Amino acid sequence: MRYLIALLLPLLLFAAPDAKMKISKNVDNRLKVAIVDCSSDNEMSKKLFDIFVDDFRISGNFLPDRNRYEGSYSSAASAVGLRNKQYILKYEYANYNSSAVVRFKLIKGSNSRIVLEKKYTIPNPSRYPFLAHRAVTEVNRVLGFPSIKWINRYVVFARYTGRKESEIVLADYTFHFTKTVIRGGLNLFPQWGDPKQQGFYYTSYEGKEPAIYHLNIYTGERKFITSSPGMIICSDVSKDGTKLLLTMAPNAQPDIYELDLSAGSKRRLTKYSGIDVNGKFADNGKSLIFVSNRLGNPGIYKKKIGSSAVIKLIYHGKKNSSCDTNGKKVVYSSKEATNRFNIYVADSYGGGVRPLTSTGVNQFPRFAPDGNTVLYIKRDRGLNEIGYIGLKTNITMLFPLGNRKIQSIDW
Amino acid sequence: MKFNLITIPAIIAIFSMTGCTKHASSLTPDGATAVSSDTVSLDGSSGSEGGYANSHGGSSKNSVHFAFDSNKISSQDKEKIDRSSYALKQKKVVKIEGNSDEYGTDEYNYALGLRRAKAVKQEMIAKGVPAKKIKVISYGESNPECQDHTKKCYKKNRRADYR
Repeated sequence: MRYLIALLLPLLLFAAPDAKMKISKNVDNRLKVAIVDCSSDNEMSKKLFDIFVDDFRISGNFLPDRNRYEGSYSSAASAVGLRNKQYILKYEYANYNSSAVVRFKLIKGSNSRIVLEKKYTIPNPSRYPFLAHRAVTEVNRVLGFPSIKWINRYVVFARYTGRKESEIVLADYTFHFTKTVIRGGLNLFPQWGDPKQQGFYYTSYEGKEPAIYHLNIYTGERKFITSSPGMIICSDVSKDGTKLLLTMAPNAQPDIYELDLSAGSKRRLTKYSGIDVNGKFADNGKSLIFVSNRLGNPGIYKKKIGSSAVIKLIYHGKKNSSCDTNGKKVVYSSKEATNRFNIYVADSYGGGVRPLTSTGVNQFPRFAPDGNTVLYIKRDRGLNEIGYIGLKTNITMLFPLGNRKIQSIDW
Repeated sequence: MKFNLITIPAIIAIFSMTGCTKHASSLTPDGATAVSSDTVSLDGSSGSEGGYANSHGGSSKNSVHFAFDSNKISSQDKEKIDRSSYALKQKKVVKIEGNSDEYGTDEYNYALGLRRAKAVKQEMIAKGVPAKKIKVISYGESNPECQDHTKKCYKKNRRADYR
């Protein structure tokens, strides 16, 4: 017996995982919903069905039937075969001139009562996914669930198209809608500049030194913000949109600076002879978390703005090179083995670490504005995908994005 | 899509009750709530003269290679810089571009590329090249020499080019 204990003791002491796996009982309280396509035959309405399914799933509140039923929009009653569903969503999609229209109604399965009926339109039919997102957001709201408004937001990402070449693309969160907004040249690290997503900041290499520009996505107005020799990246924007956290290197020394947009003044927030990057506002703008190699390997650190003291925030993992925070939690990417990176979440003090991914290369985690969903870039067996993880729902969804390498992403 | 013995009759029932004949839609946007407006596109390559992004060539380049997550120059590469220092001193401008391998898609790679460029700059200064004429820039993982997902390839990409 003592040999057995002697054998097991080192395992218990040293092999305990840094991160804990959450094992939860599979009790499914999600509402069962059937989706009935009442459109005239067209490919778009079939695609819209898939998006309705994704939207209901990612909300964490619905269990959508994956069968695409067809029927008439005008019949008020739910069909006999769908009475076992708690809700039935009927929709009709059409293109009208140069816009897309969808009308939908939500019917209670047990008594055929219409709970909600609405009609939405959007200019340019290629933007049809936003019609489904808006409809499901409304269904979710009417039934009293926490807001999922974030599914209506744009995702903006940069992807490489060649050596020293990239493009910046807008997309809906399912990537059924994508539109290249900046094509040609080397343009990187897009970062939304305001909560309403009127425009984003990005790094451009078109001039004599890397520069930050702001692009208004509706008017096309492009504004020069600042530049730096060597490198410059906009890592975060304050909630009120008045301050930027920049990684820049006026003397070939990458440090984090705060740019006050109204005053036009810059303040150096970190001073270290190695690498300080990826600054993110924390504690309502009073602190920042960032990536630094000040203890040899890249890790996640925190400091109060205006103070010189720096604390190491995350002790799990040896090489953590990308992070984000929603104020209460921190997500980061950790290199674990050759060509394997995983995403972890911790509380704002660095405790309660748990893994969110387990296979492939998972990087660039970003919180949704609701703080409960994490977006990340996944590369596995040559495929580039965007992943979503619901921290409360434990639902993971992946959307393939072809073979071009995604450089960075924000939403 | 899988249908079992229960769902098939159910779907038949749906069609019989609701009618499955497709018709031309009369759906119009009248009275609909507008969801969002359209966005712009622009050409990001229309840079000012002297821009960096597409400057692949010009004069021939030399490269210094680095170990993983390192900016230390090997003694072999120090000798290489020393050998080219005379030619570098004759140039009006010496450009050093720092690069990294594809591990990581984030800011760290760009900072690491810059640290490599800076290390080469310092070595050049030590060999007598005036600091004023040296310009450094980082391309992170955006400018790979080699696209394969192999260790040999990653090694080629962890470099600083100077010309």
